[in-house]
Amino acid sequence: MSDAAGSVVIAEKVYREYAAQGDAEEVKALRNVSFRIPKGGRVAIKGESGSGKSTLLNLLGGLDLPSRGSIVVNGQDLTNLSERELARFRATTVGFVFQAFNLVPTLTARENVELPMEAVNTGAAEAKDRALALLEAVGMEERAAHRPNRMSGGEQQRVAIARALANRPALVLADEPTGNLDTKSRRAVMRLLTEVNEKEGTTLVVVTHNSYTAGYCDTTLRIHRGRIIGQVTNRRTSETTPDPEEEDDAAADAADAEEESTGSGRDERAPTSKGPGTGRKPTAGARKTDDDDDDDDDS
Amino acid sequence: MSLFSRAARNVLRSRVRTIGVALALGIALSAFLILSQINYGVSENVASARAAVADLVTVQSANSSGFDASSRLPNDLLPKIAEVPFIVSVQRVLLETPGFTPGQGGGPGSGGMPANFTLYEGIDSTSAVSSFGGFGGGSGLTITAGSTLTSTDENRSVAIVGSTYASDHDVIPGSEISVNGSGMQVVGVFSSGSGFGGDSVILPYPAAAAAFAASGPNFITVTVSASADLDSVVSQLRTVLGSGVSVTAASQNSGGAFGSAVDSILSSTQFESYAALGIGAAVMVVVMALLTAQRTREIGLLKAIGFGNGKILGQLLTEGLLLSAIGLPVALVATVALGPTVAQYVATSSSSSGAGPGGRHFFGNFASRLVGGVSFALTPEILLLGAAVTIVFGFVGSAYPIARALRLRPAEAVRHE
Ligand SMILES: Nc1ncnc2c1ncn2[C@@H]1O[C@H](COP(=O)(O)OP(=O)(O)OP(=O)(O)O)[C@@H](O)[C@H]1O
Ligand SMILES: [Mg+2]
Repeated sequence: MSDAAGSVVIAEKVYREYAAQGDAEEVKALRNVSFRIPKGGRVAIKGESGSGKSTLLNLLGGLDLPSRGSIVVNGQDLTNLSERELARFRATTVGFVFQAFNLVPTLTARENVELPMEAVNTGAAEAKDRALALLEAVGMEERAAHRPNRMSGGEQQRVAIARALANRPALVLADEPTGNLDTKSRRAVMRLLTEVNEKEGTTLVVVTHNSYTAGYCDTTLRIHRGRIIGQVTNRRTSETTPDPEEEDDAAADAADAEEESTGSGRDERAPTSKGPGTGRKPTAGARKTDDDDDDDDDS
Repeated sequence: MSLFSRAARNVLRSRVRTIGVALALGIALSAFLILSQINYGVSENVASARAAVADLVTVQSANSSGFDASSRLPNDLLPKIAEVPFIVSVQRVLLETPGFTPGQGGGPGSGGMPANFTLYEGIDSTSAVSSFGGFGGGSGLTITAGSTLTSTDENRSVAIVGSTYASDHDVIPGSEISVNGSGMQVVGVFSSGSGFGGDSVILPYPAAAAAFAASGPNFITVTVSASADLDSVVSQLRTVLGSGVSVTAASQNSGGAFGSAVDSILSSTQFESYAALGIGAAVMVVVMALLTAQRTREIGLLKAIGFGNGKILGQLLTEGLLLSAIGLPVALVATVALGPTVAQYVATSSSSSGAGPGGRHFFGNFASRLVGGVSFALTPEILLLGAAVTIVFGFVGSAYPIARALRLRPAEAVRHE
């Protein structure tokens, strides 16, 4: 179990309720959620639709604040930050990749990547150089002057990843970054995100429905109706892992089933105890097993 | 990528919208500029007209419009006036408007007014020709043919006629005209600027009095040695002349009948200029709201990736100011091009509503003379006013989007549908 000093994210007894509105009742999106993510960790957050994944990720990224509880990221207690400090936190400490509407449509790829640097007043020349370098790193250097509407979904996500890395964040948060992508693009996007994690030691948290995507991570946090119901250590997906969508959906289910059997239990609020590098073993084959986990790939 | 160029790109994203906004804002802003320029110019003209008569006192019969035979003063006032100190000169003015019957058909200027009538004016001193009996002020009359009346003409049967009269009656200097049956020789033709009193005949007072068998003048205009003495002269004249005679400083006198035309111009242009401002502001609010409504997610995304409220506010304000600046060039061109036409229209419409003796024909021309002199050049004042309104429009237009953006929670905005 990593101590507080080694954790990039410490969530303690976090609740998030959406107040009742008119006929709509109050929604308890997160209930008593506690966990830690060690520096350099790769964590997938998995759960059925409406379980609170995005809510949780938004809280980690300072896009939203918990109703109760505390969230400490990189040593900063987000619940104590002013609006201005939160904006700065979002610009410098985290890099966000969303499922859709990631890029500003009127701006070119390069200009989109420059945005977070503009937010922290980086000089124009420096921002441009770094943007081009990042676009090169994600293989989009030739599309620097293109607007998003001339790029495929996967290409847009690569640009979005470049943008997320612009200010060298300690934590990269991705909310279903591969949700709209085909297998090839999904693989490219996940490879990029994990490369950054490996090379730069950036902590990665990915929300996903998809076991294949989750397989790129060390740990999967399972969330069900606003509670963390378990935490499993993954065998990482490798390049040879068959993509469930491409090959056989059963493969994904099988992978899940294996997670369960090797898993580190389902106790609530279990802190992650393993750093990167644990459970690295290529998934061997496809063994169809019953799985209570909601694991449809595209819901 | 600067904030400015990003804002410009957002504002100019659609060519059709850009042109539409430029036209709508340009027209509203130019309407405001033109109307306020008319308002300002007319006030200035009135002020200078009043300044020109600052040392004049008008004596006229109480309870009369002063424009008809029933408003004549008794002839024996002159010696009484002469007793009052600080008076430099005294000038009798006889007005006769055949065909104009006051008090009939709902009063002067409203109904039963002949479309055309000639104003005959008999005056003592030819030097007063330029002031045209103390009305209107300034140097309204220019001799365009022949000569003006001089002091040697005082006891002769001569006249000068307005250009309208001259062309209507085919008159040139040397022609003989009939004034109420008495023959007068025309010595000159004058032009009256924009036409005020163009259909009129000016005669030496004795000739006019004889021709119309007038018992006395309609007005006596008294020139005071210094405007500082005006109040004391007015009060002494009131004492000396008693009731039945009204004594007023000419600068205040021009209130009454003329004032209604002026007031009508001033109040309508003021109201309309405010309406134009309101329309321009409404255009801004609507277009900026449209411009930012589809961009809620984009603005939320900017917040999500670390843009603080200050930066968002700066961008939206820049967009508002840029949008509103689109209208400025159109407004300035339209102001210069359309100003005089609008001014003429305002003059015509205000004179048809502004009643007064002489009605449309007489005071319509007065109004157009007041408005006609207003300039619509690109003076620094107009540029400044235009720029100021543009800036205000920019702020007004961005207020709502900014208020919305500040309340926007990034988590809501980036939530995918
Ligand atoms: N602004 C809001 N007001 C009310 N309820 C909300 C709001 N945002 C989210 N919720 C509710 O909170 C719960 C968790 O939502 P969340 O978006 O975190 O789910 P999710 O796990 O990300 O689902 P999905 O996989 O469909 O994206 C849902 O029941 C959702 O309807
Ligand atoms: Mg979600």
